[in-house]
Amino acid sequence: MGESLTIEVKNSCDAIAPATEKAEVWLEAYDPSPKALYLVPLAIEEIVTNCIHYGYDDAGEHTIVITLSVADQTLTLTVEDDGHEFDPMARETPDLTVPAEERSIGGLGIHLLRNLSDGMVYERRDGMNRLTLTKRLS
Amino acid sequence: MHSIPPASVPASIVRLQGIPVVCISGRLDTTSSPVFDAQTASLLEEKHTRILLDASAMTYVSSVGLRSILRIIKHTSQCGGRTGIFAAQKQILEVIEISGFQRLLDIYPDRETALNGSAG
Repeated sequence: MGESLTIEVKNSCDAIAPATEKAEVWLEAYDPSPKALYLVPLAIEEIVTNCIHYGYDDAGEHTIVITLSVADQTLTLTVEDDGHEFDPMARETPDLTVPAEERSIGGLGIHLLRNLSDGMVYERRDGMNRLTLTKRLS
Repeated sequence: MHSIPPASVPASIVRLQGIPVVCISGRLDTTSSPVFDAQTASLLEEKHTRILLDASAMTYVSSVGLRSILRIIKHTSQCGGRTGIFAAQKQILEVIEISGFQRLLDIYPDRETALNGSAG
């Protein structure tokens, strides 16, 4: 039987660390592989940071909802926000071949998540952005 | 008033055989990367064809952390040299590879090979 954890964070960078810590502690009880354990704080940090930078047209406070659940040895992590429509997966993959002088990190966060997770899906529904990642725990 | 983090977190800089070695401790993320940038700022004002990153105590890096590392990479490149990294754990190496940074860095298993690879 799966269980889940829901964390609500404000759209503020200092909300990220407490959320990742909570999520890591929760996941550790499932004896995850090092890869799965790395993915959780990375996903929270990258997605929430994207929300903060790109998601909102106002300066107000918004709530971002992170949900983790485990079923059949698979972790599902969902991040939901009420910002304007923003599909982070629609951004171009960064060019990994350019020399140092031209390199930037734009799009790198999502690129990392896409490669470290087993699956990643974006949905826009009911005025919310939702990004769902899955990862086998072992 | 904000608290001042210990001077060695996330970075401390030592010189080994004349080469600056940036020892990264713990996480390089949204919170610690600005501190890292401040700690390495003066290093990036000096000409260095070689800077080594000691990743033996590094546990985590995100894209923001990679940006901080990229600053160092760009600096040595502009000075006509390269940045090296050693003793990175498996997860960090995987992130380096996925991000394509292995093209931009000399990767060594440990300090000794890194210094040997940096001599002359």
